[in-house]
Amino acid sequence: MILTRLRMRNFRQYRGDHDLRFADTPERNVTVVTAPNGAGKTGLFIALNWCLYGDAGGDRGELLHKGELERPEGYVEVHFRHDGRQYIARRDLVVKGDSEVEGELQLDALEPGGKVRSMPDPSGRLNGILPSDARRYFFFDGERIDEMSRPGHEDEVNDAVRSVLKLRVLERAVEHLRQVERKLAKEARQHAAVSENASALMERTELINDRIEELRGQKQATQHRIRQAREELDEVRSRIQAQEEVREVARREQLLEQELVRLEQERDGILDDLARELPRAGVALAAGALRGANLILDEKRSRGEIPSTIRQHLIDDLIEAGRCICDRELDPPAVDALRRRRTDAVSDELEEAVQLATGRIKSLGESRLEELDELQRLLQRRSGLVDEEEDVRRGLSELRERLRSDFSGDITELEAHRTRLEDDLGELHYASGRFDSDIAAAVDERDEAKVALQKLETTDRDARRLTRKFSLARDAANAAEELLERFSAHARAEIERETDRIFKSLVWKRGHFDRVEISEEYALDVIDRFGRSALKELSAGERQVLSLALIVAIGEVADHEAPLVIDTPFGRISKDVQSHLTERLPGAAGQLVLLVTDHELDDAARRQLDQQVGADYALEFDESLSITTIVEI
Amino acid sequence: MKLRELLEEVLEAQEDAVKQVLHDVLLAEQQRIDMERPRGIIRDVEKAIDDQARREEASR
Repeated sequence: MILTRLRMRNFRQYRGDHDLRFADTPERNVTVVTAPNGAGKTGLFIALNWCLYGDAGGDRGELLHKGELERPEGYVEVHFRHDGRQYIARRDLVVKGDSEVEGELQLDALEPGGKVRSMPDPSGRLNGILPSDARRYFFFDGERIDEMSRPGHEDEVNDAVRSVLKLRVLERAVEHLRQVERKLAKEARQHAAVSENASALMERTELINDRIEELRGQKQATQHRIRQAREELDEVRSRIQAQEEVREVARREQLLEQELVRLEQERDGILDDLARELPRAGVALAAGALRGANLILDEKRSRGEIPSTIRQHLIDDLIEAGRCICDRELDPPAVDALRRRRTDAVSDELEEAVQLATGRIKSLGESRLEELDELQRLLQRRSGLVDEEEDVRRGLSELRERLRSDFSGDITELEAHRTRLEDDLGELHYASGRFDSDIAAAVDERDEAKVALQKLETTDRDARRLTRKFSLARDAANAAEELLERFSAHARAEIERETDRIFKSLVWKRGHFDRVEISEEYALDVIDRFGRSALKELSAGERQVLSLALIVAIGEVADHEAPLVIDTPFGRISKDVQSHLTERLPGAAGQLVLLVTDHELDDAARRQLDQQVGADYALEFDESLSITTIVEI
Repeated sequence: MKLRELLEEVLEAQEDAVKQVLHDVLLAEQQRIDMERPRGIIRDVEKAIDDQARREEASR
């Protein structure tokens, strides 16, 4: 949807007829409406929402201008373009007796040749263009949008993604198709002509469906617990670091952790370089293995894990020697604790993938290797980094051991708590993985039942139709479910990547923020350069920028042609960030409508924006008549 | 990969009859997305399936 025009008569303080044309070309896609507080910006915002979706907000007051006594009627018309077609949405307002009566939505499409066609089911049609549940992420109050970026607001992010990407449509389709599938299986059981075998296979399918649903629910609950454990772990870490007596140890620990993050990032970078270099050198197989390694690494990072074969080896060595890193003898409980820590260490798939690639390079022969100096250099550097990481991890283990033994009870307790949480996290990740494999096994079982049902034959027409209908419901539900799963996973990763890119382009503390993360539960987080969550530290302005980045990213991933209509977009944004926003936001959104107060935008930002502004209006409020006029600048 | 391409990839693996049912069901769902309890949706889903089954019978 691209807005082209807004026409109104007697709507709120807009007495008489008013006409506003939106900037709607790619080169100039920004419309600015400037007004002092109370002059009618929000009125325009409400006009759009009310006309298109019948929503004038909870505390809207009366919609018809009451000064118009002779002709007590009004309307709002929104003209827009979608998929190359022009539409006019309209809603009327009349007075009957003492009450204001709001008309139904009318939607006309302009056919080629100028013919106008009234669309049947206008609300349904409009939901197909910009769904009602998604529009609040396109038409919004800039000062309230930062809510999405507050800790604990993942439900809102989840809602935004599901609405804009139409995942909710798919969710409902799965739910309703499954209901019909179940109903058909029941009918089949009661139908005399349907064989017992066929009926049993349908029933089995339904039982598997129930099991899959239950497993998904359990996986979701586990993901929720993982997030809680991670938050608690961050909290415990902060509390340990805040203790006066361990300040020095905690400071060294923090430095080592930062160093570890740096080394791991460099090692990740080398994997990327290797993945680039290998195809250039014609080592396609090894490149494939490295791509696999990168995927594993990304997946681990998204779960907040760190590949740690080294930690496993270190722990094995300690257990074998029977002594801890500080050379103290290990008693049985300490050995048990170490064993638990070892299970927390993630598998060595990544290392295996890299070793596989390395092995394949080595098997190429000397002559070929001479051409691969750069590859060798990268592999050597990677190997050096592994050693350095091992040293850092050893140092960290030593410090943590000291925290567990050399300080007061409170600190020992906190450190023990941290160890327990890290153990729990390992177990939860393992459980989450188990749910995935159990779901995959159940899906295979369902497929087997499907094949078995296909092989059964019946001569009875009704039985054949019933079986076919069951198969159609089941297959359509399975396809919708697959779509939903793949959409969700793909969209989450894409939105995370895009939000990260857009946020970094908009925010001024780019060096401080390392990346934006969106968990499987849609919990939004910003990770700082030290690998720690920085969400709680964001200012209101930074949260607003993060929310904007998220909304633009969701729109991009959804491939939605939709306007961003923002009321008071820069209210909390500092001048520096305003400049970034006004420079980059028009390019990030398909169309931008900014309803700004007269002092909201500073001169530099305004000049920056001017290059993209195609329509510029001011609202003038006449106090003597209580009416607003739209003036084109 | 854009979501639209993903959609095409998943649907490509489905037989035409399933695609048709899914298309009809998704359209019906989308038109009612603003309703908390979409009235008549089960009837529409059943109709999409029934129509497809009858079309297949008629073409035999």
